[in-house]
Amino acid sequence: MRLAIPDKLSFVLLAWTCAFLLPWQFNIPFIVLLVLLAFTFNPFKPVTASARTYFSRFTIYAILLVFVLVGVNGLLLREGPVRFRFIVLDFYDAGLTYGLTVSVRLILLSLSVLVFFASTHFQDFAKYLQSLGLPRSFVSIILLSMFFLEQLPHRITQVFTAQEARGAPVRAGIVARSRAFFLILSPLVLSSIVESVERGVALELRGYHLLRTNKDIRQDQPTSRVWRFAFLTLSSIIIILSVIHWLSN
Amino acid sequence: MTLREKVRTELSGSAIPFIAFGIALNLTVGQITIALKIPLYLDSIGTILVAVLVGPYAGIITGSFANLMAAAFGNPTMMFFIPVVIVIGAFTGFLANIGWFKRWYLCVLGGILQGILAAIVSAPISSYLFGGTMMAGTDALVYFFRAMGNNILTSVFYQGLTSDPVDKTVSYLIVFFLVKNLPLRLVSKFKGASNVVS
Amino acid sequence: MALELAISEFSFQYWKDSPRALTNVSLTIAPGSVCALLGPTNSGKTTLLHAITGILGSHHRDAIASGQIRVGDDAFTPLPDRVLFPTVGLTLQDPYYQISGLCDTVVEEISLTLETLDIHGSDIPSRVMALLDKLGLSHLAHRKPSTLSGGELQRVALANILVAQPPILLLDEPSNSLDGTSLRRFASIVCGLKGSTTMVVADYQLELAILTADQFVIMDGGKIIFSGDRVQFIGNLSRFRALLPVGLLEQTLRSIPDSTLRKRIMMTIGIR
Repeated sequence: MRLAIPDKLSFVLLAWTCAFLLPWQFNIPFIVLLVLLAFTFNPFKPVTASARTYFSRFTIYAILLVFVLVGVNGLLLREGPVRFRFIVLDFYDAGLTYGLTVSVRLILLSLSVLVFFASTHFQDFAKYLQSLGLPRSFVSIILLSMFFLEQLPHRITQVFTAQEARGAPVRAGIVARSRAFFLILSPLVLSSIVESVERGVALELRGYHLLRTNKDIRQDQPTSRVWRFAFLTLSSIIIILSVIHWLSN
Repeated sequence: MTLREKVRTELSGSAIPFIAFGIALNLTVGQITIALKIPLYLDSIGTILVAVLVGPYAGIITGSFANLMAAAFGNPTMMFFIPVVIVIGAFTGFLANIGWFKRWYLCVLGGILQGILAAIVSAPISSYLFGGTMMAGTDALVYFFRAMGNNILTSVFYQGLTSDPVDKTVSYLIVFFLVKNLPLRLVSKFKGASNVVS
Repeated sequence: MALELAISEFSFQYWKDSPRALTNVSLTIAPGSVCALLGPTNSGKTTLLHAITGILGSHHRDAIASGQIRVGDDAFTPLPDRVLFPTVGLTLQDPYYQISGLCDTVVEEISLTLETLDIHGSDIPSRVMALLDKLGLSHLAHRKPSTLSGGELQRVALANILVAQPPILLLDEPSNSLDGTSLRRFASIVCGLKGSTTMVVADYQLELAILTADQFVIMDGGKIIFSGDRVQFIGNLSRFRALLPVGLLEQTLRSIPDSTLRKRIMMTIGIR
């Protein structure tokens, strides 16, 4: 089974609707579902090895986030009854609930974005945006920055080593280290500006006309719109029910 | 001039690869600050550099694409701060256009103003979406202000006021000196050359 | 169809108080011939090429220029203010920069040129493949451009431009990234284009020029200090010892083992 980019985006929208409108008790199962989908359901599986590592990193972040948010707010938001006491620390009910609400909402919002990007090649996403009418220069910016992203860490290491070798104070006091920061950034920016100018000229020399949109790019995607229809309908239902619930209170 | 024409004027010639470099710089500058143990993010440096040398729209594009890409490459929470980087790109471009990047002391003043503005825009996001917990060292300050009896929004804003102006002032000064050290021949290739050369 | 390129009394300075980058440059290149534009770094070669393509005019609107540049029947006074591609094509000094960084394969990279020119059609892949074949690049068709060697990149950069079949082709220091074998291969490609394309090869080295050019022009300090055909150029070579790596050419000649042949060649080209 395949899901096209707009289908996945509608799914993210559904996740965001739930995150903002439904209570945390509903959203925890949604988070579990997202995690399960990311590991078992092909359209949501990470497409690259590095995308797989995002999940382990995010999992650690999410667990810590829940602990800190729940713990700190339980302590600091002193409303309602004390839920439990840990040695001398009182944890209040309102604070614990607030911590849970915020952390579950944040995790659902972030996780849906993470799953979307981990399961989609960024180039495909850029091309999809272009097919929607985003000017080609914007798409070129995205693709070129990925090109620079591949090169830059290596270049930083090179400049860092070169500056360290000629005695830049990379391990001295904070003021000296700030100067070292400048010594590293300066050649990096200079060489990159030279490169940008050359690349800009080269693109122009090939007749690259800016801001032209390219609507005839069509993604190789299934024609079925069932999924995006289902996700969007579900989101709409949640929004309508929430409005009714809000009005009746 | 329509908005589309303004954007078109900025996005010509060398601007496209330069914006791309600015995005990549935003995302990789952490590699240097961590290696040098500098206690600042400086992750708007690419945005500021582009906004000064090209213009505000280019700055906005640099900032928002950088955060979008950071989200795509494993850091999804960056996405929620796109409004903040839009303000940074626009405000820096504005300051550069009125000549504030020609004098270092104006850069210091601009950096402080930018920091305050960034703190104002990011406070509602950090407090509502993150409950004031960014999982960073600066959280301690937020908790300190909360323990003093302030609500989350105010505490996050106070914390922002203590760190953002420093971060932005240092970033502004770095960009000021970077641009000052560039050969005129190179600077003249950019739309914003008159922003930095008298 | 090759076009004539004529530059008359062309002078250029980037801004009011800057020194002149080009002074009274006059030059006519016959359709379909190859002109070698030689000279040390900063002699004005690149500036002249950028003026012809229109890059200079479109980027430096405040510059001061005089004279005329004529491309076929189109005369620009003093210089074109828009990029003239695909009428005039230029390959840059560093081919690495001429790779867009936007494409995953060499074929896509070359097709990008046609795409930007709004040329669409089912024959594009076959047209690109035919060009790759001609340039000896077929085996690299599906490689990622950024993984290629200098010589390969140089040919891909050339293909990026050639695919649009420009009547005038300018090559800026192509031998920079070429070693012995790839240089000879590149020279045979340039010779193969003679007749159909008017070419200018700007270089500070002599090998490619000697192998390909019909007309030789030497620049120094933004001025043309010599212009002539092959016989005149070789006859005057020793005059340019300070400007061009003539010594390298001499060295190569001296390494010819057959002493009679060596003496004959050196006598012919005026080196004692």
